[in-house]
Amino acid sequence: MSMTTIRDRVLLVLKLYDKIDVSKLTLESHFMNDLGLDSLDHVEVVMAMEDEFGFEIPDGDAEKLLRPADIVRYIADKEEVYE
Amino acid sequence: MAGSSSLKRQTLSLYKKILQVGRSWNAVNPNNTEEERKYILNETKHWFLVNRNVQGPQTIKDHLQEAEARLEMALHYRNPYPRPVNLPPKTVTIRPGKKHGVAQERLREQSRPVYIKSIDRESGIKNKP
Repeated sequence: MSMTTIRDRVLLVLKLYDKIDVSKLTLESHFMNDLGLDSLDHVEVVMAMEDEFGFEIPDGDAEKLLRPADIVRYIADKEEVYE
Repeated sequence: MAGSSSLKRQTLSLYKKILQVGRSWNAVNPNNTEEERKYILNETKHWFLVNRNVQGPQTIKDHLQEAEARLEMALHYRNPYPRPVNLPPKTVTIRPGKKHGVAQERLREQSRPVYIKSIDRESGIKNKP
């Protein structure tokens, strides 16, 4: 797995989530401020990421993952992928 | 604020837990598994959304207890639907256009188990503010 595939997979999962407006989605968009999700939606996003990458994200870590870029970095750290 | 953020964390983690139970739910009759899974997910999303503006630590705790009670009962009885509740003795049915007194309100209030807290509200029974 490389940085690019992680990035693509994260964005794909987000695009498939019905509450996200694809036209506003970038790596740096903030889930709450830019994409208009609430904290319950955020939980669902994190669960979708857990499904996609096959490991569990503890609540304490999950609440820090506020942008797609944070998720990409977090997964890269877990999978020990470096640029 | 420390208290309220911990309640928020508790709420979100319970939300996640219930959604996880819903996704992996197995009905007693395997034919109903799909339907019951869908029910659990929709019901959870519905009530968490309806109650998202609930204020006050005690009220929030009551609602958390409601969710936990329903979760535990669903797992124990292997039935995700709300458990029916009997009215206590001496209560009368409230019909639109018919007067009923404070005593009736109180009886209902007192006899209402925590696991139907939200549902009961939506069924149109008046609530103390």
